[in-house]
Amino acid sequence: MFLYNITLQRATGITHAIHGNFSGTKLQEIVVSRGKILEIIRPDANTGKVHTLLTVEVFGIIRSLMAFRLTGGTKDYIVIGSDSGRIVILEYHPSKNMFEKIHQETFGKSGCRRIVPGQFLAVDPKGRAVMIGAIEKQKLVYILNRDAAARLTISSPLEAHKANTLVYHVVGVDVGFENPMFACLEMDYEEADNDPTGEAAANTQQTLTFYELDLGLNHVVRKYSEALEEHGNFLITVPGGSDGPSGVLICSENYITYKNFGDQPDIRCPIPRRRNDLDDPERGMIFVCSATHKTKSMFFFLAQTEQGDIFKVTLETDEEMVTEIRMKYFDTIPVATAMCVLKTGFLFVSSEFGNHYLYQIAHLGDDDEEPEFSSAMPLEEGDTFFFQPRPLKNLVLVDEQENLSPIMSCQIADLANEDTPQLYVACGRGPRSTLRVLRHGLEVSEMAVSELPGNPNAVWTVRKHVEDEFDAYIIVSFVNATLVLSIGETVEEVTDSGFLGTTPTLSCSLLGEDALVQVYPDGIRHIRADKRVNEWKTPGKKTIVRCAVNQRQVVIALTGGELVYFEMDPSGQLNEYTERKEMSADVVCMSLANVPPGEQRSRFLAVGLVDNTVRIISLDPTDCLQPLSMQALPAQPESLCIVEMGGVEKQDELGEKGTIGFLYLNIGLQNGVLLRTVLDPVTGDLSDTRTRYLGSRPVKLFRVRMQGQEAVLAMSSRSWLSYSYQSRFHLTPLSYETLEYASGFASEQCPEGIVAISTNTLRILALEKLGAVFNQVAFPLQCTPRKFVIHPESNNLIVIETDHNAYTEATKAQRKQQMAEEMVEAAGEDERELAAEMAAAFLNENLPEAIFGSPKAGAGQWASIVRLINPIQGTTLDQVQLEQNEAAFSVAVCRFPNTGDDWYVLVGVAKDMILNPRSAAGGFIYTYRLTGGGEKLEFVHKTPVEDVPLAIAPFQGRILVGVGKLLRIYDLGKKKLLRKCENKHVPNLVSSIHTIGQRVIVTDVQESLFWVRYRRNENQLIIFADDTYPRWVTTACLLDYDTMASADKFGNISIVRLPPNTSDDVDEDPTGNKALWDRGLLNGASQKAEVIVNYHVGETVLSLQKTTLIPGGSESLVYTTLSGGIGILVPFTSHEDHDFFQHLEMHMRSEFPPLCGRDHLSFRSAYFPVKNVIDGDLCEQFNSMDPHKQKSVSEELDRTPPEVSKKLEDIRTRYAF
Amino acid sequence: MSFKREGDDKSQLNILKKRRVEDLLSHFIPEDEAVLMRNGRYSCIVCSYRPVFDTVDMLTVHRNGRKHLEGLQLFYGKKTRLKNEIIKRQQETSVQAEDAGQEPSSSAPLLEQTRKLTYHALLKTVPYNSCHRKTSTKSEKEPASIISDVSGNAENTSEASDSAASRSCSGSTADNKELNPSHDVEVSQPITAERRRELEHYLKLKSDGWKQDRSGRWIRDEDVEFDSDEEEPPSLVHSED
Repeated sequence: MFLYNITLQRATGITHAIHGNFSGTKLQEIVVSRGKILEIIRPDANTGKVHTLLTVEVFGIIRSLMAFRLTGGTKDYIVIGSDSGRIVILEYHPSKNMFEKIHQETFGKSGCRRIVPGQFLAVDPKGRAVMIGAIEKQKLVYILNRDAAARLTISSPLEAHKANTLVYHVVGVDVGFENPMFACLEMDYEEADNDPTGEAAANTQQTLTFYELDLGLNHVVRKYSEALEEHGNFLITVPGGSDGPSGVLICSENYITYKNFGDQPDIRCPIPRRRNDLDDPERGMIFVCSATHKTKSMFFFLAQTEQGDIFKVTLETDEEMVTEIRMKYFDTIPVATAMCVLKTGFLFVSSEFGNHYLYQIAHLGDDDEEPEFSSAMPLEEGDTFFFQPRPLKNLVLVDEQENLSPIMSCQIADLANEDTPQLYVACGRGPRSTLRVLRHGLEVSEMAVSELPGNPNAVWTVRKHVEDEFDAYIIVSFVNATLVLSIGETVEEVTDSGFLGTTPTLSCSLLGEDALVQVYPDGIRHIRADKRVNEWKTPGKKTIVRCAVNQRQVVIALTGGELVYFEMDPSGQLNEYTERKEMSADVVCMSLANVPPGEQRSRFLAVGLVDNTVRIISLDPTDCLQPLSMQALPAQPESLCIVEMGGVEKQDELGEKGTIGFLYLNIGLQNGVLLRTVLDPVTGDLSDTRTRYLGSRPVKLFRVRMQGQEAVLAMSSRSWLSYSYQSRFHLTPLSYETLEYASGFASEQCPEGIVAISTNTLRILALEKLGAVFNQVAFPLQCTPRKFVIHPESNNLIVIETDHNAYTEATKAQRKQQMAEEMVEAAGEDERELAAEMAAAFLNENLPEAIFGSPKAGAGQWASIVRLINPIQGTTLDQVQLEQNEAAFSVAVCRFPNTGDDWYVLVGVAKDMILNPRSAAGGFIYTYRLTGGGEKLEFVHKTPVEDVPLAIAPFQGRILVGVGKLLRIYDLGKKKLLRKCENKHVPNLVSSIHTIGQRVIVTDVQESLFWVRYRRNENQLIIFADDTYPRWVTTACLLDYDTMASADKFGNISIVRLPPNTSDDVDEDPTGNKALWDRGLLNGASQKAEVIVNYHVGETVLSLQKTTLIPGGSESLVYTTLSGGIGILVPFTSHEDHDFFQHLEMHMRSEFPPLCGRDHLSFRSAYFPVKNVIDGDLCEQFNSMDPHKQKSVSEELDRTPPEVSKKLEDIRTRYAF
Repeated sequence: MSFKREGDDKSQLNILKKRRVEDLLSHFIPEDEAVLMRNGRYSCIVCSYRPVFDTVDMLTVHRNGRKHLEGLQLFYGKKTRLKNEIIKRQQETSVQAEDAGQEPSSSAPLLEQTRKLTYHALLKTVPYNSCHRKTSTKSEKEPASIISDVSGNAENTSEASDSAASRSCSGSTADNKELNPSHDVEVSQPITAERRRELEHYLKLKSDGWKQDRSGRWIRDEDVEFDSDEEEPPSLVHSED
């Protein structure tokens, strides 16, 4: 078995985000890392939408990310610390839309190790040096400079190592142009290590250490070190030099402290807390992330606490001395991993869990009634300030980026009866959890829908002048009339446009600079800007059947297959060409390309005939109307469209235009197939045809504009958009109802939209999430979803949600009541009334937990919910709140044939579980009966068990339960579940159970898979085979009777298979004692599974499922990752394919090495040597290589570059999208 | 001074590699146009007089010469003729074989068989088939009638083997018939339905945790839990259908 890995959706969770002017222009971009993916995004200041410019998979783990700018430079570079043991500096080239690796310096072993630098990066704010540090001991400083040609140079590393020292955070201190300085939060554990009494360990203090890079001596010195009172978790650089007082802010538990050299005394300010918070009051409060905003005149910091509250932190200075830290509550947003304040006033927030947000900073919170806290205010030690959280006041949400991370569980099924299966994904954490339904397709936002009188046939938009940005008219054609609507603030009918309203229209367009043309069955109407009208009438009884129009040319086909060609001359006159051309058969469709910029005409006309051919006809004056090439088709063509796609870059800010794309002829056939062929711009030859079935209806094609490039809207029974996005072709269905006719649309409100007809309505649509594979519908949940099962009869989902460190609703209400009572009691006699009022207000106050977070109850406190949910409407049909400290971990839905046809839901619950060290006060299995057609949960009984029931699976009319390390069979009893059989030989903890026939496959949390056989006669469970590797299995999936796929928590997927001579038979071992007592080597089973596939995904995989994703497609193994990625492993069907991709992968490895310096092969073999899997993600990077490199690689494979990309596309579309 | 290459500059290495390959390919000489002689010199076998050269370079120079090029035509002409002749002969023999009415492959049936056997013997593993095979040899010998499962679930094969194991324990009247595995199908058929139900019931009791003591009475297994009102195992209901 050989597999090919395809990513369907890249990870969406963000681990780091930095901002800067990476393209070297005034515009600011954000670079984010998503684990193994580097992405550059740009918020559009006008629309407030975030656009992705480039996404690159780096095949390595990005551990740290920094923006770096040389002194006096205007362009930011990206410095990356990764698991490659190298420091990499990248530059973004906007014209080529690619990252270029400028420097790659090796310093250590690869992998995430504690003494190999890469975890921490700090840059000198003046752009002279960068420090890269490890968690322990090692720190290296590189001096960066520019050479004579203004290129960035990097020095050899200077060491700043200190043994026995742990590092918590590193920043570059802004010291102006003095020697670069770096501040580190460190802890020296040497003494603690050598002191057996443990006294030293208790007394070890964290230190703030400054390292100075002496540029004169080319040497790093440990300049100064100071023990800290509190344990700090991160540092913030304070602007220095001419911009501010320099120094650092140390964020620690409950306090933020300012420190600097010299006479500066420490300034310390407590972190304010929420008033009347349900949290444990003993719990410390820390800042988790911060953002700095600096202008020429001022600076401030935004710091976010772990509850999500943002404080604006400012420093008061007196003659370069900081006298006061001031803090003001700003707003509350979900807890972030990184925040970026942009010059345009946007705040980009990459959330820890759930969607990412872009906010506009509407107010700086300077003059409002919000109290300001200051370090100068006298407070007792241990006391703090209080504030009242409130909804957003200073920030305005402008855009949201969908984020699936963390995906806890996923099931793929067609529960909505839509032919194509949907992905049901339980994701998120705590109150920000959601159940999302993913469907393949582009999300369509409906801007307007208006009804029309009658059913229109066609619609176009035209501009009034070639330089206009927006369309002026919408022309709608009916069976016997044409309606002209003008686009302004509103859309209304006009009659003075010059268009003929009493006839249907075949086509219309802007002609030349400012004229319009309307083609109708009896002639052509040329409307000049001054409303003069020239008409050309068809000769005799002939009518126009088809036409093609662009900015300067008009071609019409008359009845009988006669082509007439018109071209505009320099005076703006539309002239007929001297000859006409008789075609051999009737014309069914035609298309003209747009006139290329700077040219007179488009050189090609494509004509589709009834004889199942498409012909390319030259319009060049030298051989006008001469046929150039022809292509036979498998069915009659329905529609044609010539577009220029791919390779085109958007015009960048310098006004320089990138390379010009290829011409593509798109052919829609009557049998619902779309063909895309390359049209040679010189000879007109057609080559490299790609085929795709779109739907049951004939395919109609329309040219539209998407993100400044041409794209094709193809309409069959479903509408599809064919577009080029990040140098890859995408053909994606629209998640929208069937459309009949469409045209591009541009107005002020909707610069890149589509106007379309659906029955008797006119719709204006916008497609904003280009590049997205799935569109999502999200239903909110209350706690972290752990698992869910599908009730096969009603298709409802049973979700178990469990949160650690949380209160149940009942406990919350109880605590609130208690606090309100305390409030009243604490008040004096005369304040009673006021206090009662406040208490009532407090009881009524209800801040949404999705934003403000849920109260933290402390370790060992659990809250759980069992929820029955309709996956289509997202309605909760029934829910059961478990008691405080009962944590649901497993769920199953099954029937017990002995007791009738009722469906039962079984929920495995742990009681008083403590995570570390793991312990539990036993557990329960709750049994519920599903009643009301699967819409109600009726409690039956509760069965106590000794340990945590982590896995439940139905088996032969009874259930298998993994209770801790015990595997048991239970049957339904009257008062509880009855234990019938038990196996104690699973080593650690049963994490999941799968059954097939008489076989049971059990995964152990730490020791991979065990094959167990149930013997009815002896009522015994016997392990007869196991795996040879210790895998920390997170999830597993049956592939066939002998084969299992499993994923582990380190991000590997492996497939193991029992050899064909494995025996699970009782006959050959009549006593059964052989398998029971004949333990193999080191107590393992006597028979061993063989490893067939090993592959390192690089993200923890939490769900695996074997399924088909497209109707009529083949089966694939779908996996979802904790970071929100979705991918598939597909089998190769032929040796030729495997051979080809094997070679392609090999060439790609050497020709296009990964960006952050990690060797691809070693990354994919990080834990186990990669076996029998070819990395499609690497192969698909073929499309983003230099053309000459593409050529050389494809020559090695005895193919041409288009053939290679066709193969890449084919294997993807065969299994997925 | 060391000769170790410094750094890990891939491009330099690649250039060197490429140069080396180019060097090697510059005088690419097909294998059948020249031979390396025992004394390390080269001989051109295209030319009829077999000239001998000291180095590849010399050979390359020779190969560009007029004489060699003339010889080339002759050489390849001869080769093609030979090839054509072989094809022609093969065609003739196969036509003859066809006329004689016999398959050309069956000319050596024993050889074919041996080849097949050795092929299988040399395979390290059996080619994988996802359809599960019974690996036990015993169960295959069992009468097919027992295996024919009414409910049609996936457990049939293993049930059968379970039932085989249970035979010795069940002391019922049908035992003596059942003990003889060579019993023919027609006889065992009517009994099987009844017997099946009995066996099924027996297995059900066993898997529910009931045990038989020496006297054949059903007692509870103390490791297994039961509903409190379960004193006696449910008896098999005889339904006449």
